[in-house]
Formats: sequence, structure tokens, C-alpha cells
Amino acid sequence: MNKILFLALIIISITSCNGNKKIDSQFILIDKVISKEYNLKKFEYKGLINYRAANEAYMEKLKFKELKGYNIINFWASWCYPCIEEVVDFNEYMTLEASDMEIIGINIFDEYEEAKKFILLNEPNYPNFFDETKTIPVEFGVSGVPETFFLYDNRIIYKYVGKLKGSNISEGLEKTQTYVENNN
Amino acid sequence: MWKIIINLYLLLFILLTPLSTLASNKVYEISNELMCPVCQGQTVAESNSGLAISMREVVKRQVSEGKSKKEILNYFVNIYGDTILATPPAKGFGIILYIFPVLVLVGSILFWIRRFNK
Repeated sequence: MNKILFLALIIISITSCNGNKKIDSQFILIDKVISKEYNLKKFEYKGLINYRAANEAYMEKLKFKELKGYNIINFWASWCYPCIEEVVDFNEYMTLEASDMEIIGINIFDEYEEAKKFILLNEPNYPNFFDETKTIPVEFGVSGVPETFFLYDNRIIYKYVGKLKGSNISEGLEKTQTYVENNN
Repeated sequence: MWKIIINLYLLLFILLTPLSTLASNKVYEISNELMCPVCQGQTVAESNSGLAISMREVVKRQVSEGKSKKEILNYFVNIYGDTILATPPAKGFGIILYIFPVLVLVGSILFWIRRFNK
């Protein structure tokens, strides 16, 4: 009787495991297409004047549908300390000539004025948007900040939870490229 | 003339008020069936965290688009998994939550009947 109960518990535990998402260290495989269009408010500041935009999709307003190539979407908030450290690494990455990936920042769970202060203080050299709709975190499945998503066109490939270090950016790009090559 | 306008206004007010109350009740009802992923034991309806506010906004939009409760709950399950539901689904490990109390009840009744008959 005890053996049967033990076996039944093991079988139930195995069947309850979620096999849809593969967790690879802190990179979580998502593979989901974002087709909605959001009119987000773009932060305008001095540091963006020389921004080398390769993607028309986020020149004025962010249009996920029109995103092309490899992109990073980083969710941040002004009250989040690790987000400040991430800006330093992202800025450094964006100055690399050989970087294949564009970075987009989206401020969530925040007030516009506070977010604007954060931008002026830390001067990210990539475009940043304010989420007025308050719906984007749900669409991406964000739980908190900072969280970073690696996309190919408008398809989310990997999600990274927590503070992303400089070396993780290249790692994420490589993983995303490998996944896209093997699954296209 | 004014009487007609006032009467029409009142009629519209009476007709539209229950509709908006119904919609906000539905938003509350659905939000109360979703657990806030970043809170401890609070539903989306109860929490004031940034994520819960976002989730309520999404529920509100989907209700206004005419989506059913099931469709909205499924949307959240697809993103956050079954653990987002305040009432666990009766499948996988969650089935124990439904079966175990019944088994205990039936077992204890049988135990007491046998003991009583002795």
C-alpha cells in the first residue's frame, strides 16, 4: 500500500512539472512573438543626439511589429539601484563598433518625472521609452526590474532576470543567434 | 423641451450606471482570481504593486474588448503559468488539493464505521 502511494506521488509530481520553458542558467527561453503596437513616450535628451539608429522602428515611437534584427529590450525603474549599474554596461556595449545588437530601454512601474531624472543623471546612449499604457510588463511576462529580453525581429527569444553584466550581453546575443539559426 | 432632455439624461444615467458597475465588478472578480506574482499571498485585486496595477489594467482592457473571463484567465496562464491562478487547476500536482480532503474524509468515515461495528 505504501509503495503504491509513494509511486502515485512520484507520478503526480513528474506530470505537474512545466515542460514548456527551458531554463538555461539565468537565461530563460521564451520564443514568443510580440505583435501589438504600443505608442510609448520617448525620452528626449542631449545624450541621444548622436545615436546611430539602425532601426526605424524606434526612431520616434516604439513599434514592436517593425523591429528588425537582434535587439535587447531592458525594463528598468528609477528606484532600482541595479538598473543604474546596467546603464553603465549597456553604454559601454553600445560604443563597440562590432556590436550586432541594438538596445532599447523601457521604464515601467514608475512616475514619468522620476524616470526623466534617472535618464538625465545616467545618460544612456540608447533610446528609452516611458510605459504610459501600464500593460507592457504583462505582455512580456515581466515580474520585476531589471529584466532584459533578447529579441530577433519582433520575436522574444531569451529573458534574463536580474542585473545583466557586460559579459552577459555578448553571451545573450550568441545564445539568441544560435537559437534563431537552429529554429528558423 | 427641457423636461424631455432631463428625462432622457436620467434614463441614460439609469441605463448606463449598471453597465459600468457590471464591468468594474467583472474586472474585480477576474483580478481576484489571479495571484500577484511578486506579492505574498495577495491577489491582483488586493495588491498595489506595479505589476498588479499592470495586470489590472490588462484585465480592464480585455473586459472592455468583450473577452470572456475564461479567455482572460487563459491569457495570464499562458504568460505566467498555472501558479498565477488563485484557484489551482484540478490537474497535475494540483489534483491532490482536491482529492486529498475527500480521501481523508472517506477514510476517516470508514475507519469510524469499522471501529463502531467492532
